[in-house]
Amino acid sequence: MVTFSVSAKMFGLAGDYEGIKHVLQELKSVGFGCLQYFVGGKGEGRCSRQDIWQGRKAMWEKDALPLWEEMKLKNWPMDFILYNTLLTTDIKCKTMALRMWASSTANALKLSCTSKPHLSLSLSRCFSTVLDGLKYAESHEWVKHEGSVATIGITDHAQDHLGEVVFVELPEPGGLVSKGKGFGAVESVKATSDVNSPISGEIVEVNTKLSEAPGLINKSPYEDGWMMKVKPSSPTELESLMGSKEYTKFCEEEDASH
Amino acid sequence: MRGPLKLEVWKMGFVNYLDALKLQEKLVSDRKLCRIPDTLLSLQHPPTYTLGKRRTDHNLLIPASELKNIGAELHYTQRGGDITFHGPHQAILYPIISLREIGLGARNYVEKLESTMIELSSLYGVKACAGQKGETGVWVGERKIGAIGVRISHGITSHGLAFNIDPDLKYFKHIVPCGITDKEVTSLRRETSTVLPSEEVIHEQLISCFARLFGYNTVVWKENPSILSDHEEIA
Repeated sequence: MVTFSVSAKMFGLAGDYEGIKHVLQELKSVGFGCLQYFVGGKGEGRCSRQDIWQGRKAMWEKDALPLWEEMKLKNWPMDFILYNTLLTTDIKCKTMALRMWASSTANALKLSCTSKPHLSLSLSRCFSTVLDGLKYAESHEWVKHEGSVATIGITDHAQDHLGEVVFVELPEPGGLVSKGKGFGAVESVKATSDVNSPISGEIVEVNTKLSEAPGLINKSPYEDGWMMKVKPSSPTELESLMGSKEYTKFCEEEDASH
Repeated sequence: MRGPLKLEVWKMGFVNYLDALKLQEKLVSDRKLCRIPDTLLSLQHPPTYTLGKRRTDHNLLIPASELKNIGAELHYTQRGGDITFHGPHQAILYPIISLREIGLGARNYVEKLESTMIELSSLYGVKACAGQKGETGVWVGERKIGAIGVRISHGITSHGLAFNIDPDLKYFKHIVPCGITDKEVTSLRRETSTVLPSEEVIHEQLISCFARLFGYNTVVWKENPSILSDHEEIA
């Protein structure tokens, strides 16, 4: 299943229309359910999962391939192809749920006109990534403790639920943070969300690149999108945070229970 | 599956922007401590311009000193989004809800707010849709009919949406609305040929769309609640 998404995205980014067409035909031949499974789609709004599956199977077979040809003819931007394919099939659907599903599917495949071919990360991009060796807070921040400094950011799960980050507010170095208290905010889709520090300590450095490139949080939440580095004042606080397995389970339970 | 979801709706009429802000801060704190259920404020503001966290005041096209002359105030806020105008005949909803309990991330929450306004528009035969990437809000073609600006703190929302029923659109000429230069602002009055009922009816319809889209089973209405009750300290 994962292979389909990776292939589709690779072809998309490489500008290979024929490649994507091949992927779509392959998907059709194994039954539509695959698309929904590998992007982790689930029923939203008023459609049940079953309704969506049935509805989209009909749309897919009817609309996707001819639509593909039309896009090729009109020379529409590559990055939008799969996104538009999914969205167009929702025209006949009477609920907004399908539209929301289509856009979250496109997001799961990380389709946007600013996306760069990070092919090495394609596999991990299909599902929220949780890295080993980090500690996690219930408010979806991560901590990497190396020696006397702890690096902090927000998780892949968090950035996925936020949408594209357009603005990041960070504190000044030299300031203090407390466990569980806010230290800054991120803005996405007209929503500013507070971010909370998983530990207490002194801020030694903040990621100034985020003021020019806030999208780093989406593209690389655990590496280039780091937010601040803190000198922990009580190292025992780290022990009360979750490990990668616990956090993965926490996210699954959070997403499943609604 | 989650249990029954209750929404408490406060119908507040006209409220000064700062009073509404202070009330929201108190309610967010109460909601975080689970002292109150999910709450929805339904109101209108006197003419007010507001800026978001990014403080994009370059999008205010007249000097701040001029604002008094046109009968408007200006406020800086912690919400997301750019500059906007609020005024009479614009329906405002400020949901103070727990996103974690309802299982939504910021993006899905905002999409549902968009859907609320889209559904309301469709009741009057107006085909509205969500904006393109980077243009959050509700549009009728190239014209914006509804705006969104939200703050999420510890998973609790504040601020919300503003839907143009029939505001004086001239006020929008003094700003670059939401920082988008080449698009107009419109209203339900402009877009529909249907005769509009009283604004109170439209407010109630907007609230019903919200409640339905967010899956609330129980809606409790609170008429004319006092915003000056319980002078508790804001945590």
